[in-house]
Amino acid sequence: MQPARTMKRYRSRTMINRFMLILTIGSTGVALIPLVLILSYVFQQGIGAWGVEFFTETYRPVTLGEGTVQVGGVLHAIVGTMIIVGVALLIAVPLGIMAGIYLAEYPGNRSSTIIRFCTDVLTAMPSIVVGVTAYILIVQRTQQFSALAGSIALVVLMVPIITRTTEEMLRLVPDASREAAVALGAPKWWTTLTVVIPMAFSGIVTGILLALARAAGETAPLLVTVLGNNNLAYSIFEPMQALPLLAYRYTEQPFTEMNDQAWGAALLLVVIVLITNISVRLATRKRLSR
Amino acid sequence: MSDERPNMERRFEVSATLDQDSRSDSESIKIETRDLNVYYGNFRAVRDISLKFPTTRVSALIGSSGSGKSTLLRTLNRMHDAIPGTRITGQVTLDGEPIYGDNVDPIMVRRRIGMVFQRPNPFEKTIFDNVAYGLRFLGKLSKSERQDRVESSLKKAGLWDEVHERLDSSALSLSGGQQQRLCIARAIAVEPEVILMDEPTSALDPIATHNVEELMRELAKTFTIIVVTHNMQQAARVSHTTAYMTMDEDRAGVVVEVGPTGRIFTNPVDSRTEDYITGRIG
Repeated sequence: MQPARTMKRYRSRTMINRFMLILTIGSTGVALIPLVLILSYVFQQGIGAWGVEFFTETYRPVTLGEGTVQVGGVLHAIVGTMIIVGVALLIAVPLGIMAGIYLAEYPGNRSSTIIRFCTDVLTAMPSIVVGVTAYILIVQRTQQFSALAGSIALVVLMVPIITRTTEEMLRLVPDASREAAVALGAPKWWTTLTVVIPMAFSGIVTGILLALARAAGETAPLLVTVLGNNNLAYSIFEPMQALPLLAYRYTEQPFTEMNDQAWGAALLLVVIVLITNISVRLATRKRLSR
Repeated sequence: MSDERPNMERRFEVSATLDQDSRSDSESIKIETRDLNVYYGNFRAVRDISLKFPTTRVSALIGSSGSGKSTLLRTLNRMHDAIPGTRITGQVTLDGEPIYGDNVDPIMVRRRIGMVFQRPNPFEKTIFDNVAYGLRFLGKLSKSERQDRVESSLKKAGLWDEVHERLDSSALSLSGGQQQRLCIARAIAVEPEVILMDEPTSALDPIATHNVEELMRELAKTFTIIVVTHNMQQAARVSHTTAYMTMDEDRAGVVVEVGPTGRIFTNPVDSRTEDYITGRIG
């Protein structure tokens, strides 16, 4: 081949390479625009509602007429979200991880195929459907709106996420590591517990965080299960307030002070998810360096 | 090729003397396979293997890729059990006792027959924890007993001097050769009777290979060693008996010839063995 032609081809390849690189960087930028817009807008709108009262007070009726307006705070929703999501997490994490272990470590039989299919269906389930189901099965039967019913609805949304990420992460662990333990006479369950799970640990945590973020922001299933509560409530057998629920309800109110609080609650939700994410990542960062 | 020959001859003499030595207690057979067949689904991977592996000797399985060496090796400590679709006919005995049977726990078999793999596969744990991993299966050991066992295993594996100051650092910080010796230390820590080695040096450089081979010779004083290798020189250097395997017309692995290493390499009976060891095939 003539050198001139080779050079020409080389140049066109370099051009295509550069073009594709710019295209991928551009796409990433476009995809990030909404994220930046949402975060900055929520921050802008929500930060005004933040103050000491916002974090230490519960609901207070807006006083009409003259004088200073007392708006209270969202403490009851913060506590509520923590309790509802916390209880959901306590149930969903062991269930999801164990199901994920079953799918990854005992693959190929009929029951794992069925479970995997059901998990995928559940992942795509609209959250309001889950909420209504929880309403019919729990709220109607017990004749009581309760935080627990909300937690259970969230569990149904969280388990498939945790299950599938756990499964994927365990599959990434090389078989050589399993064989090393098995060849030493380790039983399978012990191998899974001491070799496979530690290697996949940070991935499993990522799955839990994804599920947590999803659950913390869910509004629809909570509407029909925990109902909402203007007072601070600690019992999981009673109606409770939650941040997304409060944000949703307060936007419907005619008072601008409450609309502002809705923004504040939305911002707080974002911050809580972000802080949890970062702190868990820091805590579970691999201690063993290569 | 030709200038390597005198070197090899000398090695064969060494092996030959070891063979005479083995003849005196040739009665002692550690592992024996009888009419062993391994199937992956419908595919027969090895066919009618009947072999005897003598106690406290190094036995080498040589042969080209696909001849079923690793498959055979992995049947000896039931490593195929976890792989769905694998079926085994025939029998393997350890000290005359069958290891395949309804009343045999594969976990107990593996505690008596350890294994070292082709690629070093230390756990993502500290050096100490790697060696100590199997110890908990031996029953309660005190902390000092555990430490003694880890130390003596690392010493036997020739790794102690290199790592004794950093037992708490990650095993993954070691070099490939060190990792493989760590895997050997891990295997001998539980004091098995047999150690299976599946191409233990194929991922290592020549110096690390030399170290591991020295170690194999040393370990053969107390353990029965069965090693799969692609490297004929290695089989000649370290083993007392050698079995040559090849692939038959159905692509199943078969044993062509087995005997004292010195004889296999100097005076093979089967022409296929001769072709292989002289480098004409494989």
